[in-house]
Amino acid sequence: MTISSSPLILSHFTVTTAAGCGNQENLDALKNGSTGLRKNNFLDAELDTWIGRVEGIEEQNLPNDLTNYQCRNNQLAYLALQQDDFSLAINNAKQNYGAHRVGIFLGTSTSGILSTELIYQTELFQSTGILPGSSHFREQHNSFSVAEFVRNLYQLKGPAQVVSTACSSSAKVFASAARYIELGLCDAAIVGGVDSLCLTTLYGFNSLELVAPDICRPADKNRNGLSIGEGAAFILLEKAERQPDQQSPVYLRGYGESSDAYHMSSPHPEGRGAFQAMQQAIERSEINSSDIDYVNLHGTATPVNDQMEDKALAQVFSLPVACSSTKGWTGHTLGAAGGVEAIYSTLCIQHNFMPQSLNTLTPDPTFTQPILEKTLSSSVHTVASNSFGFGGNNCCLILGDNIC
Amino acid sequence: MLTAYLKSVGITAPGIKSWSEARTALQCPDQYILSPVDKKLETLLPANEHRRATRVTQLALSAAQQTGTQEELNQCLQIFSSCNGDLTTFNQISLALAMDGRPVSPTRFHNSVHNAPSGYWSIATQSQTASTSITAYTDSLTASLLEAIVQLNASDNKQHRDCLLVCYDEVPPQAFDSQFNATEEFACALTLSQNSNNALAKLEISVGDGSKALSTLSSDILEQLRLSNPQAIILPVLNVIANSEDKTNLYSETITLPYFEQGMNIIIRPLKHD
Repeated sequence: MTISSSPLILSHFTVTTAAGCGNQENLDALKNGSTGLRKNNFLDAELDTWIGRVEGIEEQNLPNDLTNYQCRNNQLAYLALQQDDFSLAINNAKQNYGAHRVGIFLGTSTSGILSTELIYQTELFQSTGILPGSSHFREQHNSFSVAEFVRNLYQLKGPAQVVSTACSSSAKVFASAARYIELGLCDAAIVGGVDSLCLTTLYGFNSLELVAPDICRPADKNRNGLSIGEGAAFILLEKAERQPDQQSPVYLRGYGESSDAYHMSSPHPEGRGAFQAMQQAIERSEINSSDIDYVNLHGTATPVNDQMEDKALAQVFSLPVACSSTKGWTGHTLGAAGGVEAIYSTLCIQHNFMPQSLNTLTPDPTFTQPILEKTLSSSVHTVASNSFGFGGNNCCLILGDNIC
Repeated sequence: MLTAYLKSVGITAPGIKSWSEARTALQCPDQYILSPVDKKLETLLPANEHRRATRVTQLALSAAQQTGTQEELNQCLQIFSSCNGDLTTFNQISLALAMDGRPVSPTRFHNSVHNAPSGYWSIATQSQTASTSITAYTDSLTASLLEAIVQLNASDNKQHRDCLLVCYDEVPPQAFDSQFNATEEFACALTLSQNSNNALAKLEISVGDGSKALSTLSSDILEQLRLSNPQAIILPVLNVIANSEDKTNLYSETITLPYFEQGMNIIIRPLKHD
């Protein structure tokens, strides 16, 4: 078998977060420094915290033949898919390559479990203890739901899977898709992630004392936890040679994946897994760390995460590198974060800027790397984007506007 | 067509605690008794982690650790696959969320992620190798088998010649009775390699065109086992290997497993080493 390793291009993409619906609104928010976070007003969740809630999810009605998939996560996916002519891009890819040749690789951590959580709150469930037959577990709750929804929405027949490795999920899908394309199992791939607010994550992160009562302040010396967000990111990944006329092309240069092998919900304090993921991504990109202009941090604003990430960066970068977390705009979108931040990194390259660390009042003086206190206009060619998840699951993506 | 060598099999299933017991059951189905998986499962987790780990993690790890020594497994790429993840933990959390004050347990919360078994495995084996956790609903087994073989064959993999694939599903809690039918627990782990040394079989995998009938088992009791859990669809593959002892190295058989509309064709070439 011959293996053709050809550069992959992010030929089309769209992002929807609390900071905006579609690429332009997100780009404007990034440049203007306007956060999408707000005081928690999600359902009856009485938690003193801030959330990154996307406007307009509840009004989304899925197409008639797919109403069984109607849940917050798929409504968010559907809202996002209607932006930036992304549906047109999928349909063009389907026409060019064939329905069997377009793969789907999406990340999520909680899928549409909110639907089931809410059934548990009903009197009917509390008296019977059984989910009603009309619950649509497969179409809403199961982690594969969003990929199956997208597959059915566009009538695609290519390989499909959901990666669910908590907060690294939608970074890792790029690696999976790249390998499937390289080995000829598909010609193009819809990659990305969708995660939506639910009670499990709000109360779960709260039980771990990882949720901040204040707005999240990544890399701040007084940071005290995350703001939970929701978001959807979709990217069409295909071989660059198939899109020779692409404007401002951005390529997937490399990726690195590792495990901490340390703790289920706390990262290794010296960032050993984070270091490995970044190191591997740089090697795979065939660049030097000094070629990286900007690092989009995982930067959740928990004391432990941000510190270990800085320690890992210090091991990777012999010279300081400009860093910021964009979670001050979106909150932590969990399984969607990798995809959302890959798109933010792409926007930085295409629009020549590096965003500030929003909400950061005083950068942690113990950090070795410079945290961007103001948004900088500057040419950006190569960006590393970090995503680290529970279970010590790490992924780093490197995106760039040149191939060599 | 993508190829890999199957090096070893671990299995924790009803009435089956090892590949050796699975082989016996597949060779002599008349003697096989479909009895529930033991309540107590051994794992190589430290005692405190073993206690914190949920049943589905213990199930996955009990199969995974049968496939090799810790040293051998430490360097494997890792793929974990489950149709439903940990619905037992979801059920416990959701019951807490329906109570006053919503007292969610932090340990339950971190156990609720789909990649909990993968996280516990990396802690147990101190393996920092890349690990992924995937699902494709009831096609999770074949999707993850494809992912494993893709990872082994991709040019980005210069370091790792072996891959550990762990496929598992629990019996969902009663609340899900109307939604998903899995009557038995089942976990199966395969180590796959680019290297043929001491391999049990060579596997050649391709996505089908939907024209082939899905493989079944001729024994009623084994067929009952195959249908009892979404991961048990691996059994026709294991059946070919278990029953190849009198076959030559030229023998091969093609199995077709569910994979979306197309099905997945697996040509199995059992290997002899003596």
